[in-house]
Amino acid sequence: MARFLHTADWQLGKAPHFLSDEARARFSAARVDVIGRIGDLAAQQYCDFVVVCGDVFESNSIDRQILLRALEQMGSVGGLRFYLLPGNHDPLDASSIFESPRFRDHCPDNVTVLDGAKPLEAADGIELIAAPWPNKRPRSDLVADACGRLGPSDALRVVAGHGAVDAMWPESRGPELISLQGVEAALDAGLVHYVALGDRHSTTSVGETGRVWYSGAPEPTDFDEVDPGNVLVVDLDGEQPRVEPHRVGTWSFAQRGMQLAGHADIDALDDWLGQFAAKSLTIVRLNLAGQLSVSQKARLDATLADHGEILATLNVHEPGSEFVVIPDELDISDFGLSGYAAEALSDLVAAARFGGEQATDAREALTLLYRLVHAGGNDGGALEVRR
Amino acid sequence: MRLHRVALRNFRGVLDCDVAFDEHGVTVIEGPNEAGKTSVAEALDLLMEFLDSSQHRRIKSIQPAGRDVGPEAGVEMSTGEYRFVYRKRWLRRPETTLELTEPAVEQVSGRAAHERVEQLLAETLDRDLWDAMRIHQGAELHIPGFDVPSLGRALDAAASARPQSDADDDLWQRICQERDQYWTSTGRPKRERSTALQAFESATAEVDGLRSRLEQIDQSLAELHRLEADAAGLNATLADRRRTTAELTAAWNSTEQVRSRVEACQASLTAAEAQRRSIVAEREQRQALIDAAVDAERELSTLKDRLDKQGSALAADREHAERTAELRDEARDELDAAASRHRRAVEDRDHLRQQIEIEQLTERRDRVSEAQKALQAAEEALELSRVDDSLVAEIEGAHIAVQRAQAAFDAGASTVTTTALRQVSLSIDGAERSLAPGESHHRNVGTATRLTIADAATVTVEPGKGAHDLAAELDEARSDLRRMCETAGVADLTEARRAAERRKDAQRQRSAAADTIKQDLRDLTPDVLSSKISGLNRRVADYVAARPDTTPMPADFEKAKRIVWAAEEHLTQCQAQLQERETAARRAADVLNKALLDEAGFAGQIENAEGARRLAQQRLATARAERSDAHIEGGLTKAQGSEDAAAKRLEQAQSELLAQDPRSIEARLGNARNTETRARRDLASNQTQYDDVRIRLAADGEQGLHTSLEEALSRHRVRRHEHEGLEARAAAARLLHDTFAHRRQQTRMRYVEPFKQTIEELGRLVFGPSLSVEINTDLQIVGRTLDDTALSVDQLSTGAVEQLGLLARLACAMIVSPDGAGVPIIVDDALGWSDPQRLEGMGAAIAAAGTRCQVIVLTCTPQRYANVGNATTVRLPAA
Repeated sequence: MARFLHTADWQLGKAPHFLSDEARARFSAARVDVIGRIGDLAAQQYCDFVVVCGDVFESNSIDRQILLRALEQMGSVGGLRFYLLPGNHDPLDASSIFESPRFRDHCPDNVTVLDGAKPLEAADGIELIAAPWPNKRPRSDLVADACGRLGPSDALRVVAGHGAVDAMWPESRGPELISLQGVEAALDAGLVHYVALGDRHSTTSVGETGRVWYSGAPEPTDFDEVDPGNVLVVDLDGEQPRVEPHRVGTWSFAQRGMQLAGHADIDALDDWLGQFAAKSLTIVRLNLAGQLSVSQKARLDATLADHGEILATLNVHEPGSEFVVIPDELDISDFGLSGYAAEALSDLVAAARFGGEQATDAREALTLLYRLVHAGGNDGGALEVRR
Repeated sequence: MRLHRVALRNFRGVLDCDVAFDEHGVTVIEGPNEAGKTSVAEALDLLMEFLDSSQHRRIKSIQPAGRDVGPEAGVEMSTGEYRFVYRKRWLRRPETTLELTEPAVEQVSGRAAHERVEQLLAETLDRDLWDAMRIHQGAELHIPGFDVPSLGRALDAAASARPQSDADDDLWQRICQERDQYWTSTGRPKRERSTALQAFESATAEVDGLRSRLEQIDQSLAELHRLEADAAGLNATLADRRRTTAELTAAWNSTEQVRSRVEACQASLTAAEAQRRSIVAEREQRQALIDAAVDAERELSTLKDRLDKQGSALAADREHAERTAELRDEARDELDAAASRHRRAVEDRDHLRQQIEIEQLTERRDRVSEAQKALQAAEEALELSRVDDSLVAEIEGAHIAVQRAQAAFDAGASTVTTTALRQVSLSIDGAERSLAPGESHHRNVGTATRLTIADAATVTVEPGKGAHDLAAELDEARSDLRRMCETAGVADLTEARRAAERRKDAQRQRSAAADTIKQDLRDLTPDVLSSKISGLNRRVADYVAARPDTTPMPADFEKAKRIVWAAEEHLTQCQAQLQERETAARRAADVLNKALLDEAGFAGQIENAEGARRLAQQRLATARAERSDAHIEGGLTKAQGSEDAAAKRLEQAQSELLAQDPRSIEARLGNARNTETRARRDLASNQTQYDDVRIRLAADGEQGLHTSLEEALSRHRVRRHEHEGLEARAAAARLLHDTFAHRRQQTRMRYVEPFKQTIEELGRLVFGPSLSVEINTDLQIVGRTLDDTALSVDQLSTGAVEQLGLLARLACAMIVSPDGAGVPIIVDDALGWSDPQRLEGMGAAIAAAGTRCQVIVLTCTPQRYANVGNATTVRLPAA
């Protein structure tokens, strides 16, 4: 029996550009820091080794500093072996980071790159069968290829692969798709005993065997991930393997679309934005639609600006004309203008309501006027608005 | 605002002064200069502006000179709902007090009082209006704009029946400030915006650059992939070419034997051809020797024939040469004789000319000799007489002087007439004289004269002083004449004139003699002339002695000249004849010489031709002895046979080789080898490119481009956000500003009208019923129309500008004051430029305004404001 830690998609060096500089720095550092927690977990769980199933790095062209810190982090977990599989982000092509001098020169002894040349004895009685990506566009099912070369063995065999499984993405057609049928056939034939996969960032058991798993990414990377932030501790013997997810991730992504029609909606939005536990590690995206008055818009801006200061990043998306600011009668009286100023206000309101090219400028002008009239209030500067 | 009272104490020159104002009309404060009128107005400013502790120069300037007291000012005023008395003392024991009486009683002092007043004024007073309503003494004349909140509100209210607030103006200021953040005054984007745009563009460029470099990596990878595929193809091609080369090499080797035989046949054919060519050459050589012997024989015979013909021609040439030489010699002798005759004729002519020359020179010498004598005589005469015309003139002058003196003496002197009655002897001043009876003797007496009559009596006549002087003058004149005559060496004037004539004659003779000498001597001296004559005499004598007697001497010079001419003509003829004959003789000699040379040349040629014939015959004989002509012909026939046989053998061998197609095999083999080389080269190039791409990739991999791109994208997002946000804010600010500006302008145009009407109502009192004014949106008068004549303000007289300025203020105050928002108009000695008629009209206008607002006039010329009907007058005493 052996116990190992299955992880993937570290994507070291990823730092989404829609984050602020400050958040990007923390986000990037967190992806390196999680290696330490993985090491600690592996030690706690008495794992024999850690296998990282592809996309260890975000790209073959990442910054030297991140590479060196990651290698340093792995090297610091003494006695634990890390097996790194090249994936589609960091394929083993001529530009491969794994073959670069900076990697070779700083690679600690406990780190091995799975180049797929031959089965590798990862622990007593455990063989690692690797299906690394030779380039970004392989022309075949690499896992099937790796399994196809195998003959009978007494060892327990773990396949390390990377990529989409055809059964999960039936609409996909690429030659590199991993055939679930082929994998299950190899499992049935006893040629392999556990298939450790990477690529999907959400922790997922594939098929019905309980032997084919995506570990998911240890730190989330995007809004569309279902269950990221986990690694798998796998107990493997002749029987059914025992696979236990462990949470190691610290960051989270959240997105929400909202229809806004008045102060009640703004209250609801305020509540939702306030409910995140680790706000400084949470990246939020809002898709807003609906219609607000100028004063309501001013309140919305203030609310968003407040949350934007606390959250790691708050992106507000106002797609097209689905979200508009239309001044109402209450607004007009709220401005408290008279004489020519009141006439000018009416002109702007008419332009804003009429639409056309000037409507956007007119709405902005109304917002600006609101601010000038209520000088000393929200200056609207802290909020990021994506058009 | 209404002013009720102003009090001053120890304020500059004012000791104590208390002025009360009419609250609802016009107050005219009169006083002589320095009575403190201007101080009344100034005190209001100082009270409002400066704390009692102020050391400002304006405060120090109101300190009374030479007195240690603090200046004090106090005012009682109403503003809004407040009425209060406000006092301050500065510099010495400073103090501030405020006593509010309305709406509630309140007393404050010190700084709190100052701040309380500031608060009251801020709440109730339009400061801009307050400033606009003042006309300072001596200030530059101008028509103010009334773009002040109070008037704006009042006019807005009049126009739209709706009050306007300070907040509206603040808002307008903020809108302008907001617009100015993004736009320059000329409507161009401000630097911040262009900087943001540049930053955005540069971030875009950075992202594009990094993307391009990352794409380059992908392209490099694709390139590697292609190179690997190419290498596989090239390796396959190389193996294929190697196989082909081996096969063709084997085929080539099998044609080798036939090719050797062809080469052997080729060699024997070449040898046979060489043998034949050698014999052909020998035959050609033999024929050449035969031809040479025949040619030499023919040449010799030709030369001999020509030599025979040449001999007869030579004799004729020689005879002709001899004859022409004789003729030339004869001509030469003739020429010598002619030359000799010519020389003699010339010498004879020269001899005769010398004789003539001797005669002429002798005559010249004689003339010179004569002239020299005459010259000497003239010089001597000149030396003797020095009386020239000027001396004669002087003597004539002296002579005339004597005559004049004599005449004067005769006229002026006493005359003594002695008439003898009998013969008597007289002694007059010692000169004895006898008179016959009846004879008289007259004498003019100039000096004391003693007359002794025959011892009978002595009469002494003493002339008077006049006669004495005349006598002295006569003596002096005579003495002068005498002295001059002595100097000239003559006795009297007549002699002097003659001497002068003689001197002139001598001068004429001297000049004539000198001319003769000069003409005859020319450039010679008399000695040279003489020596020339003697030299010529010698030569003439010598020639006569030496001349041969062969021909007679010509009779005279003319004849001799004619003989010379004849001799010259003859000599020329002889010279021409000689020249002609010499040419003929030279030609004949040349012809002869040439003939002689030709003859000698022919002899040499014949000798050479004989030698050549001998040599040719010897060579031919030697060659034939070595190999006969027939032997050569036989050898040639044999060699031709051998060559034909060899050619046939070669043809057979070549046919055999051609059947095996060696060229094709060779071409294919060469091509196969080249293809193999090319494949090998392509493979090496492929490998080089592959290595290059890998090196490039390795280098690019070290750059961390992906991370850089993420960072650049982040910067790009921020820059775009900044740029778009800024542009949106700029557009909004401009739209807001433009919308407000448009409406503001419209409103102003509406409320200009009541202001204009009020000014015109007041102005018609001054300028007459045809007045109308033009007002701009800043509520400033910009033009005036009177009797249909429109003028801009710049074109108006100083007086009219001053009047309109005051009228505008009055109109403004009239409009503003009914709401209680007005301020008093304070006029410090204006209207100094107005004529009496206009002053009357202005008085009526001020009075009319005074019914609706408070007007305070400060003046030192009370008559200016005498026309203000309802004014209250306050007179200040002199300081």
